[in-house]
Amino acid sequence: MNARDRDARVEAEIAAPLREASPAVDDLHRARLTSAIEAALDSEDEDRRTRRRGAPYSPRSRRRWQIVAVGAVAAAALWVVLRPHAQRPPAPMSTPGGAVAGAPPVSPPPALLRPYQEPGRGAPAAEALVPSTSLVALRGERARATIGTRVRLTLLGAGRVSVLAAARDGDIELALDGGRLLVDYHSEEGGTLRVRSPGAITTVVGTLFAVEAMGSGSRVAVARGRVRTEDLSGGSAQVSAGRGWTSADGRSAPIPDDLAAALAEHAAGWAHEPTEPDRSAHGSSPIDVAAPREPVRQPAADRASRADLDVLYARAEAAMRERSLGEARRALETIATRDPRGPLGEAALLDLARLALADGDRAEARRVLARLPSPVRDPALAETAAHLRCRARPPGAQGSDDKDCDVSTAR
Amino acid sequence: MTRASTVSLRRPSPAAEAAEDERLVAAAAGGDRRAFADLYRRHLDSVYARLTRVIGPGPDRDDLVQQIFLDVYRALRRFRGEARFSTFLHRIVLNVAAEHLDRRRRGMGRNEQVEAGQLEALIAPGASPEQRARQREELRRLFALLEHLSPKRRTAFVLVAVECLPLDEAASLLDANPAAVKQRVLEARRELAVALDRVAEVRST
Repeated sequence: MNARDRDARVEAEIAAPLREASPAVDDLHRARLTSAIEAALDSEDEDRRTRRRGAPYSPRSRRRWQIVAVGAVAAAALWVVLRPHAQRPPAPMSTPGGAVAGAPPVSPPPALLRPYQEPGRGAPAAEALVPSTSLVALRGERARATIGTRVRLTLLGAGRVSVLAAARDGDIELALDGGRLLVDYHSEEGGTLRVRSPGAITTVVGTLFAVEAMGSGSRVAVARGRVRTEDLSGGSAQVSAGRGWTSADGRSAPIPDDLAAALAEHAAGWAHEPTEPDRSAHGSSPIDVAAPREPVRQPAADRASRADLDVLYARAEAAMRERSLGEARRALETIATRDPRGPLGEAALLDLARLALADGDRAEARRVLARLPSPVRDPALAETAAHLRCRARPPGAQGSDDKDCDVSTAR
Repeated sequence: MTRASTVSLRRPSPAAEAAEDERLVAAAAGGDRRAFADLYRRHLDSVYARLTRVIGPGPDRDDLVQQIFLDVYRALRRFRGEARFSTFLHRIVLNVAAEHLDRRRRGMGRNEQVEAGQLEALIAPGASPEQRARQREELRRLFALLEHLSPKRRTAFVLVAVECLPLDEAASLLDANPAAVKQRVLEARRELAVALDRVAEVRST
């Protein structure tokens, strides 16, 4: 078969039928899309406003918070010393099958959950108000707490959420062992929030979202902002506002009504108490003040670090699309340094070489490409690497022309 | 027929469309969210259609459409009007699509299973249920064949062979030279012909 016959066949059997397909958007779909775009833009505007403000609260409010925090820690310390009975270690939680989460030892705890008394509720047990490293809600009940000024969470029982030791200062790491966790996270002061739940790790930069433990898996739903999820196999996905994700099948879908309603209720429940979650002396939520528990699962630090790199890569890609090349280079260099032998590190080096070539700097491209293992470990990148090596050859060298390289790497 | 009715049925000329885009871009870059909403509503269909043809009718399209318009929103202040807005927009569409295909190839993205409903949406109304079922299977087969191509070749093939864009226009959207795009299309056709042969071989055995 000659080239003309071959092209005619591809045209008749592939191109023409694809041309006839009509990817149209119906009214309902259009409404869903525009609403998702609007939500993303709202979130973007909010981020911009926050960045412009520089800090979420006024200095006076911040000072008041510092006083409250110091008082709370002092009260906790006093309670630990003066309570009548020695603290019993809590019974270990059953580990849901296939849990991703690993709980490093939490001594001393990196952050404290401060139980929050909802207005109009009855008097709580005194110990229910003491800051601790875990929060428990019995079946059908609801418990609320804050962590510093950044996290406001609602736990719908039955379940428990615990604070783990975070890998970096400023990060917050939670483990959800059951129930539904609704979280409003403000990242103005920097740092990320990570929620480990059965079969999933959810990494957040700033958003309103929910994580629900469902047997051996988890469901994540995002009301505002965007989160990155990772499942047991290391597969990651970004979940944006208005969408949900389940670890069982890794698929994204619109948020179910009940979860959307719970998120809306969570957001509204805090609306009138933005900075003083624990100013009331009363509460009735069944909050368990438990000692730091023994780790029940193995850490998954490498997976978490991979998720961080993924987030960083997404930033680099966004910067490249926006032509913020300095920012893109910095992010790619970080990835290449932190993951020198992984697929992300290799891909970052290729992107760095591509950027150097776009600047006409073949020498820099060659330097970057020299850092790649030969052959590259990820076979999917081999073609790109060969193409870039060809293009990075010194001017005048055979095959350095862009067109030649395309031909030479075609097969 | 009155002159007015003739005019009202006619689509605005490309120049008029571009001028309206320009006006909306200027307003949106100044912080007018309503202007940006008008802008993305005007282009939503073309973005969705091109994205579908390039990456296939997978479940991630909605997220990518959202990502595309968010990227455009962020980049709008840096848009200097050297190209038409539609060109600027579709460059972002193709970049996002290529990244998505790249991730899918590297196994970093989800393994997307195309559902019947997503294929159904590509079929023009009016076909009988039997025809629709046949067309669904045909589309599933066609998009599976495109999966054989590298992101670059696939994108070039869709723009040039499926959408019938001139080479220089496709090259401008892909930020490449026309000769390189032509070569990619040639290679894509060659690979697709081989894939068709393999399918035919499997069927015959």
